[in-house]
Amino acid sequence: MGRKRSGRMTAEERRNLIVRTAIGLFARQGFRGTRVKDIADRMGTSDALIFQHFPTKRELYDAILDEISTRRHFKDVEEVLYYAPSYDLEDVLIRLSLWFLRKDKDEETILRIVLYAALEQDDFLQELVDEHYSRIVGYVAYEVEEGQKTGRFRPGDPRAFARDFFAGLFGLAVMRQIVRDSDYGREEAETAARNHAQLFLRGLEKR
Amino acid sequence: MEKTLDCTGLACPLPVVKTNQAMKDLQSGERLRLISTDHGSANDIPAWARRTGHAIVSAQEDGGKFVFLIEKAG
Repeated sequence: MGRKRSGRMTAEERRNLIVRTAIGLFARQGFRGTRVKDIADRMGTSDALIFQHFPTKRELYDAILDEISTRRHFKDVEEVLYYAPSYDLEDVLIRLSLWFLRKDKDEETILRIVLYAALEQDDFLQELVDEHYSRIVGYVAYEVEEGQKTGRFRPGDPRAFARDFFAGLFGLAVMRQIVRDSDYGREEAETAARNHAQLFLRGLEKR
Repeated sequence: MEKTLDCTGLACPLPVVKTNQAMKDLQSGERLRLISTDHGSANDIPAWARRTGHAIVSAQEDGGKFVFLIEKAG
């Protein structure tokens, strides 16, 4: 995708820039605290140009969902799930956990957006949770159920166990990346991810 | 022989994970009919088939329901 000869951005480049600018502002000051004018000001352009690309808030939300979706950021986990001849659940759960716990600007941005949407009860929240987190719970629940069928895991509601896995991870990520509590940040992300995944699995396994 | 795997209501990554699993139980040349309602399947399943060498014999979409007929590679 090249620029026009005049050096001006193409429509697609401008659209991407709007989405990235909006994500940055929503993550910093919330949905209620961000007006279209703020996005335009940050880009040094006009409200009209934003509306030209995104006539409704809905369309901007959809573009943001697409940009921050798990699918896009989850390639290394998919690599194991889809293409390894056989995968080890512990390895997958460690990779999943690491993806959350790594001190990464993208992950912090996504966490902040989800937290703002929750605090402001924005109608975007459920979609963010569905797009970003529910599929993780669904996948873990599936693996728990499979492990129960083979007798590896103890009986119980697989989805409830999967929610425990996810909620623990989410809490750890918030304490490390948003609260920035030094005690929670003591371990490297790799160690914290391994601890979390192993605690979960050892707790599920039949003694 | 043709098997059917119904992944209706399941979100990514489960349709691909379960398809992968189901293909392991087939002999080469046998087919799997996969039904998925996850919109990501439209891209994920063909990309997965390309990487793994299985053939997509047919792919249809009807009202948000994706149906793939996949033949196991030799």
